[in-house]
Amino acid sequence: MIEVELDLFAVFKEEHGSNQLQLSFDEPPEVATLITRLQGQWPNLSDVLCKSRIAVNNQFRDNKHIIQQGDKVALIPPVSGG
Amino acid sequence: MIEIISQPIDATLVLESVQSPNAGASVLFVGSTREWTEEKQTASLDYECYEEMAILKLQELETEARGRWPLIGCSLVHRVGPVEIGEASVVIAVSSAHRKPAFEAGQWLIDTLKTEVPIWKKEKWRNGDSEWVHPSSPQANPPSSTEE
Repeated sequence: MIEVELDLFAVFKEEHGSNQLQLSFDEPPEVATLITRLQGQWPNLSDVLCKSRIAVNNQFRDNKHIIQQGDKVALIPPVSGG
Repeated sequence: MIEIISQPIDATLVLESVQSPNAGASVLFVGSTREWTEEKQTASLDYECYEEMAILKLQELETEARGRWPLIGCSLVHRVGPVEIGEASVVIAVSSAHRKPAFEAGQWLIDTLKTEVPIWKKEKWRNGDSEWVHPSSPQANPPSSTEE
């Protein structure tokens, strides 16, 4: 069992009503597995989810990256600074 | 100077931070809240950031810019929280011995900041609506109330 505390921002934070989402996985999940779980969580936000990235320990990671217990994981929707 | 602040940005201070006797050129970019986007009137913008990652990404932008161009000074300051019409949300200053690297680096820094640094803005429209701005791709940004 692995617990992932996913940090949320912007539209996801607003949708969830909190800045963190707790998720459990049977084994350390790939980023792709995490995203699939989120698509089930927020079907209404699938468009923005498709364009979002996952950051692990402050670096963007691709779909094959495996998340480990204790990693700092964040859902990064398309950014709009500037 | 790399900072994320919730107070108004003093662009003069950012410019001064890159000036040096060896710098023959300093370029200052100020991105500010624009009132009209086509037919829609903005009341204000509200910026949120993932601070620890955003600071790290801004530092990476500086490092990469210094690797690409012979810069002397390089400063990036972004504001978060509510930003009123006409106020600066981002200020970038770069300096170099000659103007070309400073112009090129300044352009690259703001373009890259807008796609890679985890900062988001929420549009608050004059009609009372509000929405998060989540561009579909860097090449296809929807209109939003900043400088471009």
